[in-house]
Amino acid sequence: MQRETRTTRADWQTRVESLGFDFHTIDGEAYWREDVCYRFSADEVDTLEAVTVELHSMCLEAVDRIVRDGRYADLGLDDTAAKLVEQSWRAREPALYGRMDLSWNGSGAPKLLEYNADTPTALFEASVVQWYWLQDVLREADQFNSLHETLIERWKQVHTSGKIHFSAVYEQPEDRGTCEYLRDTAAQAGFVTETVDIEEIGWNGRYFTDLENVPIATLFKLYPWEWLLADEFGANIPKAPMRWIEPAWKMVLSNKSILPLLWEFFPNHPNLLPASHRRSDLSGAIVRKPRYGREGEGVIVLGAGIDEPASNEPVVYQQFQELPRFGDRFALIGSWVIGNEAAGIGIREDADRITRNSSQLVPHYFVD
Amino acid sequence: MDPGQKKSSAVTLAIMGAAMTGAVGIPLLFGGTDVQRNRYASREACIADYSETQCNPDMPMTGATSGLSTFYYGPWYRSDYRARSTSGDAGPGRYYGSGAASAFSSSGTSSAPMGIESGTRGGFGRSGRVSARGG
Repeated sequence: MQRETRTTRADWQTRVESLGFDFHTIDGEAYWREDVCYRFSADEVDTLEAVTVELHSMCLEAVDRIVRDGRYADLGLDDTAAKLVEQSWRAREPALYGRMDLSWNGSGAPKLLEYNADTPTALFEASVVQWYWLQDVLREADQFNSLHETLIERWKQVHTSGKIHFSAVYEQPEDRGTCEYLRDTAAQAGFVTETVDIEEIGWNGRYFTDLENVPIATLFKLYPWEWLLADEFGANIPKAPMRWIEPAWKMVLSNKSILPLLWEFFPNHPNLLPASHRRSDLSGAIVRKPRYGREGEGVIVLGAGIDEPASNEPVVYQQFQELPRFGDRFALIGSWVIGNEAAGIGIREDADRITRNSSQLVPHYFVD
Repeated sequence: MDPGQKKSSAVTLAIMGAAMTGAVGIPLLFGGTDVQRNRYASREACIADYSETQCNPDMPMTGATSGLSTFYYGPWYRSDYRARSTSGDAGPGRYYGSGAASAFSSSGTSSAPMGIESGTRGGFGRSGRVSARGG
């Protein structure tokens, strides 16, 4: 795994905008950068693929154990959430996608930092934008990125017939980009699609409805489960005969409290970091994460013996794992899971050791 | 495709980047807002009350349209429009907005709405207003 400097395409803005990537620059700061890229070997990519599949398999086993043993309190899930998790898990509702954030520098064992299993973003950038970059810049090289084709095939397994509604907070460019891209792949899989902003979903007493008051039968929502349940309409979710994508059981995996449970179920696994709800269980430098934190929000690194600030919400402690540093940038590998397959990676960089929504996306390629 | 290849052979986009349909409705405030919209016997009647871009045909669930009469709907607006003025709200249309009688047109021959459809919206989204969504 090496970081290389490259010449940007002269018309890169026009090129990426022609793909629909209109948020390559956010608040005046570059979100996409191609003056650098990462180069992997084929063996390294094989390692990432194998580790991602194994971790995902472990996660599914963990969900099964949690449901079987009713370990919902460990995750802070109330009875309503627990029932939804159980129903969706026992009905074997299929999942569409997720993204594991891994810390790895090409040697040793990749470590799972967290699993964004419910509402991961940056999918379009990884699947489409970096693929076209490779076509333009290194056409003969390969890339760990079959996301597009895998997604289209996965839709055919996740859904059978009827319209799929897509919902997100569309005023947010990244959310809109991810949701619209997934809608695109569903359309290419042969399904009729419709959009409705999450705030515009209606309730008619029996069904959730779209803007035409048509009952929604299947909803892909880029909006976290815990927020759906906390919002005013949350009380209607158990009553609504509707299929949700991602399914409710993803609440178990997108919750940071899965990290201590994974460590409990698979102690000393080489791809896991020690994690606990009690700081005293861990030693050395530690990362504290809010149970439902996103985009690095609320994440703090605690040096050994350093007092921590009070938190208003439940937190999880995980042994600190420094992200690999290339020059002045820390790199995080986002490894995508489509269905049960490892289908590609996207790399984000930041000057800080905590990756946030202000981090920059950088393309990659690999060679034999 | 090379058996060992790990990149997509082709990446084509069908709708990405095109103008979005839907998701452009009424601006909603927090917390399950009661809203309604007027139903009209014809597109012309709806346009007389609103404007061309604000009128949409009824969309049957099954997709079967032949032989069915098509109603038209105006935009959603807040049910409490009389009590409060909300910026961006489409309002009740010219007919009700002018203070006309609230009796519905049964024949659909005038521009008066044939009826009102009610619902509740805005019950999702509050949490997203205060935090980041994706991950």
